[in-house]
Amino acid sequence: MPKRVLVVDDDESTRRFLTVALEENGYEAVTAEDGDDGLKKVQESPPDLILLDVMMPKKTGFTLFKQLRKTEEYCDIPVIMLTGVAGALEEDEERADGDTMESPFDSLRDTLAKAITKMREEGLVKPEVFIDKPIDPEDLIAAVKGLIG
Amino acid sequence: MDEHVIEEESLRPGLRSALRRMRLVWKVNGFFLLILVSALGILGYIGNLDLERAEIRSARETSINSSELIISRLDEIMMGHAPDELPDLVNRMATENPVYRYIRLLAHSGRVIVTQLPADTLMVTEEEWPCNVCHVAPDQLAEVTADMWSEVVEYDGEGRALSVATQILVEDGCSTDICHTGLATGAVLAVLQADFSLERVDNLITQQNRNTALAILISLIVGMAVTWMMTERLLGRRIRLMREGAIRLAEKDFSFRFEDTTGDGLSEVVSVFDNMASELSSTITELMDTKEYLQGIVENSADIIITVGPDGLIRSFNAGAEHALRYSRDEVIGQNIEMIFADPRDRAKAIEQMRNDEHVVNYMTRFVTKDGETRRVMNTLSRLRAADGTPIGTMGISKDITEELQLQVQLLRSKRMAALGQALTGIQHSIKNILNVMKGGSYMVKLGLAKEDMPLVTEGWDMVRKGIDEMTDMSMSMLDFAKTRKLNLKPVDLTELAIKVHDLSRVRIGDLGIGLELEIEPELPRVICDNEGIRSVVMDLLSNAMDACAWKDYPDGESPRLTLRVVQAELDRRIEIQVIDNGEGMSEEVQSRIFMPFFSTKEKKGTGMGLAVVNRIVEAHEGETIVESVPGEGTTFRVSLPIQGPSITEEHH
Repeated sequence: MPKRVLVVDDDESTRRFLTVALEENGYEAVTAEDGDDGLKKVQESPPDLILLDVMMPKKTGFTLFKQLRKTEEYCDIPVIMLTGVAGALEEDEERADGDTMESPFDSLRDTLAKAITKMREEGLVKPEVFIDKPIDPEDLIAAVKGLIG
Repeated sequence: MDEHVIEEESLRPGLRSALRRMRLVWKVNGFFLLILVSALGILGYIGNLDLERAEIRSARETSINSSELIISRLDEIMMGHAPDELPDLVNRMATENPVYRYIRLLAHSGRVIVTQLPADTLMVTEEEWPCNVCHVAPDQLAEVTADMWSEVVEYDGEGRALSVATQILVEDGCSTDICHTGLATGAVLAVLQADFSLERVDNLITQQNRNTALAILISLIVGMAVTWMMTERLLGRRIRLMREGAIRLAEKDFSFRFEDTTGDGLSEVVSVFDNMASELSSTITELMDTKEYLQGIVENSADIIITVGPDGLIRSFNAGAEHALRYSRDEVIGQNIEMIFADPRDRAKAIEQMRNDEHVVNYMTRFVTKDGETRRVMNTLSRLRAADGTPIGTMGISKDITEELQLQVQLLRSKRMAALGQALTGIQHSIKNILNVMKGGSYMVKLGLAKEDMPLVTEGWDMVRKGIDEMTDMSMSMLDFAKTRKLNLKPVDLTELAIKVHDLSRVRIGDLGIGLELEIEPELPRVICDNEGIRSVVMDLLSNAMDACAWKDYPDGESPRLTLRVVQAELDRRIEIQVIDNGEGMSEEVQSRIFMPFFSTKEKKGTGMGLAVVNRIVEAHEGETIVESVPGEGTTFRVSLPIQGPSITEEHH
């Protein structure tokens, strides 16, 4: 029985090549095109791992993620967040609080950083892995393997 | 009272002021005195006339009496043929009545008797004696009538004299051949003339004149003294007080008051003075307060306030100017204003401009401080005018904006940096998304080749090509934003344009389950604009509105809805194209950034160039793009365009 991976991304091409890569490596891929659709798929049949895009219409990846973490039966499903700003986020974490170095405005990174901070305040665990776009399918497969074998 | 009452000692008038007051007395009482003196003079004159008349009357009576006597004696003498007695007679007459000066008997018709006093000049001879037969009865002279007399007052060397002449007439029965031959009864036989000296009456008149003059003099002195006293009592003291009060007022001592209680006519004047003094006092206090207040404003202003006379010399220099330019006012007052200008031509230009206007508002110029440092200032030059409107110079109020300008430059620089950072982040996001697809595509090509799975290769290759296309699109839109395009301006029927856009978009929008309504005000005028540009603006706004709807999770009972509306606005001078959605809306933070190039809330969709280009096009039309948005409720974009088109048809970037 292959492990099931749910791919939630509003971009059709991304969904397509992630599916190809996952299936090539022996996983069963299920896709959803937005947050709502993703939640529906999780509720239908909880996957072993979720690849979750952050920026999506209607329900963003983070909204869905927090919803999952708050629900007892889904809170243990590992999540890999797909974003364009993961690297910048890690930099933020490395920097000590109060570091006032100016950085160019980036609404996505700010939103994400705020979301993570808020999540911690709510006692939630942050996503297991952030992967930066453009996604290298081989790196992704390695991360998936690391989490669910 | 007490301290305000003027001490008499301090007011003792000097001679000059006494004379001055005398003059006043004259002015006040001159008329009265003139009448007084005239009356006395007239009375004196009338008295003199009476005196003279009385004297002449008595002289005439004497003469009449004497004449009767003389005539009777004359007859006796003549009848007795004793002409030698005639001088004696005359002498006796003169002796008896010293009033006589001369007595002459003038004969008629050649027979002359001349009798003259003094006697030694008497020239009568026997031969000349006219008549020795006939005589006139003296009692008949009683009938002598008044018109037989003549009176003449004449002057000779000894003073005034009264000559009284009377005619001696031929009596009835005297007409004989012996004497008075040929003379009818009643004819004039002779004329008796007597001169009376008027010395006595003249002496009396002189005496009386002296008395009159004395009376006038005494009246004058008494009158003046009385007038003086009255004037002094009624006027002088109060005039002195008023003068003193006026001097004190002039010296800004407003405490002085008459507090007059006499209640006569003048006290009204005096109380008017008191009122004037207290009003003046409060007015001046007010004025002083206002002056100090205004001076305080000027003086304490942090701005540089300098006034300059028509000659270009500095008249005043406030503390703000001292502080900013580091000169003390003593160093600059009276100096030419050009000394503080880095380039005096700036001032000349402003003055030139002021020919047409009272002010030159907020022009930038440069001042030089005492240390030689150049300061950038915002100057407002105003013309100063006297109360009658004549220009008396200029006033400059300047603000040192050197630091503000530096800050502005810094701010602009950091804003530019932020915008650049924003743009770079936006570009990075777009590129990342495109690369993501291309990377995935190339993975599939590689996998397909390895597995000799041609469909997989084709699919992967399509993805790579899609990425290349998107990258090309993006670079094209960047080029679009950067390049200069001339507006193709012509009258455009926005109704037609809106209908076309609506028809084009309806199917695409409808496919997404979004409703599109079109509302166009009837009879819209044509608008001078670039048809293609405005069409792309509307398309872009609709596309954004569609995304805003697509990204919103609509609750039950609500559905996504767009409205495209075209209406007239601003008194029909402008036309507004409104694109209204009930989509997810935007926070204020997002609203403030939407017109920045490469700003996007959509990571995978769009280049972040749409609204930046929209704004460019609208601004080129001298229009305005206004955003109103409430997060979660929707957004309205209003593009306002001038119906007459842009006033400057420059190229837009």
